[in-house]
Amino acid sequence: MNDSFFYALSTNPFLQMALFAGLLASLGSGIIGSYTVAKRVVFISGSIAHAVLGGIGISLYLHYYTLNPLFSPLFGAIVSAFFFGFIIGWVHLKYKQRVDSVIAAIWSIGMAVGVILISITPGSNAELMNFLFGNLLWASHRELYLLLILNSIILISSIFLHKRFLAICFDEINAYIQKQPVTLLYFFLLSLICLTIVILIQVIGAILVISMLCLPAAIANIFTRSLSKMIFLAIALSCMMSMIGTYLSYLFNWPIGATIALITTCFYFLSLPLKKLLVSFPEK
Amino acid sequence: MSKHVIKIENLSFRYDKTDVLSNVSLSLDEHSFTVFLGPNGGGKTTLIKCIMGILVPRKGFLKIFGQTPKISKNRFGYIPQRLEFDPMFPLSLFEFVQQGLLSELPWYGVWKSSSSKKTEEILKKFNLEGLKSQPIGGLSGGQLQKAIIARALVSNPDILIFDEPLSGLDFSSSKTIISLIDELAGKKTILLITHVISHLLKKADHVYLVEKGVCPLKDEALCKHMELGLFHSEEEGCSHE
Repeated sequence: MNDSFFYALSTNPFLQMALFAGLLASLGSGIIGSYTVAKRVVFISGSIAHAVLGGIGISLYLHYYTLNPLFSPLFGAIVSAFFFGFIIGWVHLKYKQRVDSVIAAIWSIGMAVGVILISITPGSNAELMNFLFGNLLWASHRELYLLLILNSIILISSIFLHKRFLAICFDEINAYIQKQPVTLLYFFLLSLICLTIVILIQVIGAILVISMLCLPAAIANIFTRSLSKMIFLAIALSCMMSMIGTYLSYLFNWPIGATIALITTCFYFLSLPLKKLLVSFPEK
Repeated sequence: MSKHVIKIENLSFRYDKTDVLSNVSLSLDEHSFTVFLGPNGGGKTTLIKCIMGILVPRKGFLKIFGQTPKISKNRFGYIPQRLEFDPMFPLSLFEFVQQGLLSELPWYGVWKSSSSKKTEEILKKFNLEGLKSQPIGGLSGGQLQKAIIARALVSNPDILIFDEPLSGLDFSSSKTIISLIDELAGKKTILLITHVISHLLKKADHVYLVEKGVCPLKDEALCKHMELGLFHSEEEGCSHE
């Protein structure tokens, strides 16, 4: 079985592309997922991930009736992710206590608009399935280049802004007193979260986006109390889970996105007792 | 000759339609020790948030060293009443204290060696150097309060603002913080906000009652307030509200 997987990996371009796309997505999700977990905006990410369906639906609908190539599902996803991200960010800054309801409203309206428009656009049901569950095995060269560009933006931004992101994630008032542009940094971080969500939707699908964005970072947070170490550990864990997920999906012929999400969730639940074991070990 | 470091004239602030501060006027001198006393909800924290530029007043004039709070905000060291954070937050004590130097962080986001040196020194001064790698969520209440003060002092600010610094602390931690404020009095401009009558008041150059407006309290007025039980007294063994 093992041999046949590695043989398939060396000969099957679909499998190679799927694995490569999964590893690239792990880099972005490991970095941004760590900030998401530290800033406790996991549910904001979940809301954006699902609301993006609205943008995809509008794009598909407009493409069908105008034949304009600009209206691709990816274009709709990016525009709607930023649109909804900025609404949530604005509400968070302006009316902190009401953000939960807005998250729920955006989650619902995006999904509702998306489902209605996709259902009235002929021939777009496949797009709905791709959006919901990802299409890793059909990753094209164009998508890989896009993943590379988006990852580069995330990597460069986090190298230069890591200390500032850490500051606004922990204590916005102190960051403000220390003359940091807190609102700008918050919206920029939110934009990077939106970009990462769009990347992950291509790989794992909207339903399972949260598992790949947040769980590797949450596992890393159990074992370290340094954000930089947490980022490196989250990237490593995410890469490992992508590889194991790809292998198991090949082995059992399971959907690849769901397999990665299942593995990630299992690791998360195993990491909790493992940490307890590690803490109690030196005492014995 | 002493100069005004904080000058406020006719400052008003409201949350929604409720006036929290109205027509507040006061001037604070350099190296003075001022206490804002008053009941909970009286507007003490709102007033300092206006002074630091976190809140924008509805009307009035406010200058810090002759400039707007937005320009001079990094001249403050702020010790908040409560620091709410996730105990699992991935931040060490060293990183936490270093965040008091964020205004010195270069654009490329790597700390200068001088910043790390300053952080080491302040940790040593507060006897926290042995805990510098500890996660911030693992510190005791007293250690955390010391760390918050260290973060506020690390940039050597001109004005120190203590917002209810003894709130929730045990006797020994309170004693440490009080002696620290004692030590800083006369060297820095200090603004202390409290609803607890403590012996720190004896050190204060000015005591103001903040309750929508601001009025200076003289010794007799202070005694009167204590007699009436308007505030809690530490010496009387009363607890916080």
